Amino acid sequence: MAQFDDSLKAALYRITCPDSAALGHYHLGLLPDAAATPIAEHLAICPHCTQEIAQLEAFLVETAVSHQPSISERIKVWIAKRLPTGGQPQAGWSSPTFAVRGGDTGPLMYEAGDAQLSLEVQDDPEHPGRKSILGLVLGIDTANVAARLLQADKEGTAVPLSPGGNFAFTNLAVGPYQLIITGPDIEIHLPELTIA
Amino acid sequence: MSHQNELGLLPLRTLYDRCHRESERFFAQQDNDPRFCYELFRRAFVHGNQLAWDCLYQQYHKLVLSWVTRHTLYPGLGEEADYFMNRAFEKMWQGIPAENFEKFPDLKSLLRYLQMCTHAVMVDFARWKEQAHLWDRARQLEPDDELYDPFATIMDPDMRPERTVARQEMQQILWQRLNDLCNNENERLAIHGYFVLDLKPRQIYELYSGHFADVHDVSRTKDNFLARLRRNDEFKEFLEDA
Ligand SMILES: [Zn+2]
Repeated sequence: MAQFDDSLKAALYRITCPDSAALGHYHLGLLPDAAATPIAEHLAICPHCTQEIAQLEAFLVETAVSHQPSISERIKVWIAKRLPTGGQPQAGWSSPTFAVRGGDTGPLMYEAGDAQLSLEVQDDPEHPGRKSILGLVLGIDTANVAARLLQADKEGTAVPLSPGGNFAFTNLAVGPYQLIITGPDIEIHLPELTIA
Repeated sequence: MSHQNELGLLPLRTLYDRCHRESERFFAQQDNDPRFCYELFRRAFVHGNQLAWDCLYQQYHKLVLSWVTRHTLYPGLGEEADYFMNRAFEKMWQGIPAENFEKFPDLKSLLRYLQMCTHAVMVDFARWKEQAHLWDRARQLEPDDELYDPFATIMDPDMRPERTVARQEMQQILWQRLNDLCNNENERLAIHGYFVLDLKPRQIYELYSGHFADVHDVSRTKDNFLARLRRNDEFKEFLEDA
């Protein structure tokens, strides 16, 4: 007799309880009213689920990740857009990918938020067969701002901008690069810069 | 174009590096910018980008492990922290369809969701252990009675908690069958309280005080139902077919 009772209890234990994720969604306020109402009704009669919700609440407090308020948008992130000679962004640009060839294009002009960026790719006189990039950033405070040229997954060297906003990279192989200009509160990305 | 939209154009590698760096600033209690990590989540969930998801795992798995070991249930569960950490990521991955991502306006809300998933997988495991314990107890009461074990199909004690959907379907059918056999609301309340919620008759009486004359009335209602159930040939057949 006792076995029948206990087997039935084991087979039915908490069969009407919402699953743990449903309780979690309920607690985080992610459920529409139609789904939240039956859970609220169940919690009124179920000590197990009530305890699990209390554990969840305590756990969220214990592991809260907001010990320091996040400073939203501390950094302005700009993706550089190439400008035609006239100085306005190219209409209909879709991907910031440009191939630049030393000596045959003249300076390339970009706009990135408040900043204007010009890049000139040249043959590197010191290193035959290699390239150099001369850059100029205008429109932002260039104190503590550096330019970094990355190739594939390699961490590139950072060069500081001069007070006038100039920077240079030399001895470059042809290929795809990524240029990032980083300051205390700005980042300018030129994600795909191919030197041909 | 908003800054968050501009982040959408960053290469994944850059995004991951920046998320990593900003997270380090966060844990050093310095000003930090959560948008890079948020953009990783957005790509994972809205675009279904598996590489972005891999980056998130890389970035957050140690944090989730630390959550697991701090959970009050953890010491009693007898399972490796890695197991719960991996289940938590799986639960999160399954829990946010692309169209629901907009319910998470910032990184904080996403990490809170990941915390909820961590708690949920540990609760799943605890529920599974409790049920296995009830099942063991039922079997130990009459260890010699190996002849007829009507619930053996429903209760496979070796089934892991993440694979219990089939069992739950069987349990739901069983529960529905019992409900159909109840003669009135009081029987339903008594067997729900007793078998489903594992409450004592006194607790059931207090929960539904308007329904029962006294505590004995709860026990009597439950016993009457069980006596009828044992005599019910259809129910017996149902168990044998299960
Ligand atoms: Zn419950």
